[in-house]
Amino acid sequence: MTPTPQAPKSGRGLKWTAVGILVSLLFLWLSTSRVQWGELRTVVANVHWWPWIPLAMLAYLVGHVVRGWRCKLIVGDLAPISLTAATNVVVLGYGANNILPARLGELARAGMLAQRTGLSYVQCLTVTFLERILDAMVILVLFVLAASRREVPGWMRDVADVAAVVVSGAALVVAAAVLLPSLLPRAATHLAARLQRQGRFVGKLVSAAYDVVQALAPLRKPSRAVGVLTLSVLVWTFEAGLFLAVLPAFELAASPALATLAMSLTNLGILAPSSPGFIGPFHFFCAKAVETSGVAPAIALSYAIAVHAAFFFPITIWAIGVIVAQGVQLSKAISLTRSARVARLSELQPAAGQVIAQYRVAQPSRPSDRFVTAAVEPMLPWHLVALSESERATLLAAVSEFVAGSVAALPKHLRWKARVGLWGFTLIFALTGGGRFHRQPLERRTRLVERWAFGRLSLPRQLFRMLRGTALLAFCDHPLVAGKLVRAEPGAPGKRLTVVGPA
Amino acid sequence: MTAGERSQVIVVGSGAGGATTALTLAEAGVAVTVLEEGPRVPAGDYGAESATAMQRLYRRGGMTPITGKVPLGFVEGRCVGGSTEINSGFWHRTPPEVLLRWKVQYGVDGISPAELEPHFAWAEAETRVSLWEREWPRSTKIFARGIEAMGWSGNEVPRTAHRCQGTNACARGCPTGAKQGMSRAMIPKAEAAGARVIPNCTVRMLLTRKSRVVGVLAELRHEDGVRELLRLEADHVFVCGGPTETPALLRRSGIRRHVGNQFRIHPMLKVAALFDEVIDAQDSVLPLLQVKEFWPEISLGGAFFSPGHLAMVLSDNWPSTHRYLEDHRRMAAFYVAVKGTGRGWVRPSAVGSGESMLRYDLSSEDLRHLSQGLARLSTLLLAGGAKVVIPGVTGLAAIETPEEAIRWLDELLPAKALSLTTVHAFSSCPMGQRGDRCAVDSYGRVHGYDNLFVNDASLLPDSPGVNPQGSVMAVAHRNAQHFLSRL
Repeated sequence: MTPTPQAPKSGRGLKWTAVGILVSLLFLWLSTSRVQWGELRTVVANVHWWPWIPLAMLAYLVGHVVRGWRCKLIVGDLAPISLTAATNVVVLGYGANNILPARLGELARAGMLAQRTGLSYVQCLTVTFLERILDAMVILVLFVLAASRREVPGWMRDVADVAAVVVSGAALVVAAAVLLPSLLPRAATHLAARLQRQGRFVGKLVSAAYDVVQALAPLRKPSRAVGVLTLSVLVWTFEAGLFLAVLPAFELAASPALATLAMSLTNLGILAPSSPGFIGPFHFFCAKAVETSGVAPAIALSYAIAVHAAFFFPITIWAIGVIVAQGVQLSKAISLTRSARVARLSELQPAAGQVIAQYRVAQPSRPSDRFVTAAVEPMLPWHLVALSESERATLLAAVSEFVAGSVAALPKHLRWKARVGLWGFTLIFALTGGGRFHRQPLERRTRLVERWAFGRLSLPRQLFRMLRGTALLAFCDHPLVAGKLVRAEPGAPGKRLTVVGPA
Repeated sequence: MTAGERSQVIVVGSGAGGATTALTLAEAGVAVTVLEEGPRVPAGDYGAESATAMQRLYRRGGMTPITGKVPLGFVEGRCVGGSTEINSGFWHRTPPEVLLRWKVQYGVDGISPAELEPHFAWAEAETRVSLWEREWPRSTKIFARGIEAMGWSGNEVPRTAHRCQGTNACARGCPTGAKQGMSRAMIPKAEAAGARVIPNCTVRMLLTRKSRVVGVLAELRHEDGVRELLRLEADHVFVCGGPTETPALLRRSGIRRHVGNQFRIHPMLKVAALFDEVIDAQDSVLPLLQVKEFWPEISLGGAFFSPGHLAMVLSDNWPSTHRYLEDHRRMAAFYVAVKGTGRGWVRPSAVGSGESMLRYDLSSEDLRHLSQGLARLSTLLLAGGAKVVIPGVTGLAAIETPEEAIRWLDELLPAKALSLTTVHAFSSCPMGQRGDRCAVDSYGRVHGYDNLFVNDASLLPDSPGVNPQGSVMAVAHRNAQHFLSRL
């Protein structure tokens, strides 16, 4: 069983909290030093709360649902999790960051994810880390886009440059772990060997490397990676929507560029250690962003306070609700174990060695069942056997399943070629006015398949040759067919298929 | 065994080499743990129809692709017992000239026929190697007719299938228990002697420290989809994962010297032949004879036959050959196998989950031998009464006369049109004392390591030119005994 993650020692935790509070106080002073309190009170009193602040909260809450969707998309192949559970996990993390110091909310989120899915804690931390990397990348891109539309002081660009360096390095590590999955475990083994360590250290290091690789495995599917990236952009679009919705509350022009600038700079700024809820850095960076449009410091700070309120309260309340409803103990947040797994372990065959990790892996992607069935059906010699409708359906399903499984079982470097070939076929067919291939009548599909399978182009011929051979093997040796493929009159000529195109 | 307990020996793989190693060591009192990547398929599930059997017993559910100038399909088993559960069981001792070549060219010690004799005898006794005891089935008689008509040397080959019932299920797992795959012949005896066999357990990496292996990192798969990463420690490790997985595992673990750089196979071209008479080859054992007239370059023999396997041969020219499917009762399948002089390699995939990448480039010599082999096999079958010979060559739908066949003695078949397969692979971790070309020493110890051994087909230095199971088991037994003498 995975070792229970340990809570940080209390001495270190207190030091870190103290640093955070000091940083918060510093930024609070920087935010308020140029502002008159009377001026501030006047601005706040004249704010048009309705409908802008609720709208802002709504945008932020929807953004969290999208975050939950993204989490589900990343984790879904490894362990089942509903959208509701994934969203609650995300909200717990953000809400806990508003209450706990030093971003301990991230650890709480990983712990809750481990509890809900049965994945290891390291895998869940990897998922959290991946989401953070994606967030940082998207924020940086949005900052660059927003800053290109506005005059921003040099120090803001410097903040973005520093963040870009850090994020790029982390993104490279993630990309390597995704694309070269054997690299990390091998590096971990060699590192452990070089350090002349043995026993549990090697096991822990290598198992952590494997956990990281397994957690990132779903991203090896291009469609999955694109989906996760798209949702990441959507997340921060909604978050920019929060900043945008508050602008009219202060009679400021609803400028998407300004809102995006404020959102991105604020989120880059709160990477610095601070108090729970990022009080201080949040207000400073948000106000500074708004001031670039010539707004007075008092208005800018009031705007920042309003945005922070919309950012802080709904999520914190939601997170408290999750904690109460699901019994998550924050004091033990980072030591959450997979209690459901413990019971299962005793049912398993006793391991012959030291168990250092447990996980699930994503199954290789398979071509669409509809397409395989539609492509395979014309290849089969139905005219040679007499079958009832139900027998035909059973046989076709069995053959399609075998063919799809064979494609999925190909080594990855060949599987993607086969998939590209199949996509190409359906795409070209659709683009040339054919529509959906699987909806075509059998006769038309037969002509199409034979044209590609026996045509002039080598690649489709090779692809269909593989599919045809596999399908015929499964068809002819199936119990429903065996014994029926016999010519009624020995010596009589056989029936011929109608072939269109070169033989 | 309790969690964390140390094994004396871990054996990776339970095929011909792994099972031989495990049994030999276990019977000598060594604490052995066998880690098998595939499942343990109950004997009652053997003999299922082709698609089901392939998904249960074969790597990749059927065929492992070998890339190269001419792509090939490699058929190997992935289950307790390995490829011995799905092969024909044909048994050959390594020809003396091959052993001599290994001694001279690779510096292999202790490899003379006399030195290997007791090991062959042991393996033949354990697997009950024997000839067919009843009247030959019709497919064999037809083949014999053709051999006699051509005046060539050919003989019945013994098999590891004592009292074979002729169910023709060799490629789907023998349901009668006659064929002595390792799951029947050796694994039960090894377990009775104290060996522990853990199926569904893939060794991901060897854990090494300086010149020693300290254990393995293995992934155990459970039926509910949960996987456990295990660390198992051992005093010695025998890697017997076969000619593709052994070098991949070694290289993945950082052991690369002469590992995976020399991958040899017996490329094989299949043909189907139509006769006037009913043969019912799908209901009998495959043809039991092999033609050795052109050995070692070319070997001719009979292949597994079923309507499905026939359809695969016909599929290369399907529009014009599909009609023969209805005549399958009057058909049988045969093959041309060549020695294989091309070059290949085995590498673990960097992108993906550590799968093995295989490459073999057919040499011009291979192509010439395949062409000549097709010519000879076709003339033999036509002389034996075949009406049509249908090769697995796209664009060459049928050979109906000796004149059509004989052209391939001088002409080369179009390489890109060939549908080639292989069931024999070896030499990816060649053994011998020559440090400039061998990955392991004469007894399978990996060069540079004290306690790491290879003991499967990958250590055969080059092509034996015959079905390799006999060579693999005899050499594995010899190596295991050598290990015991130094323990």
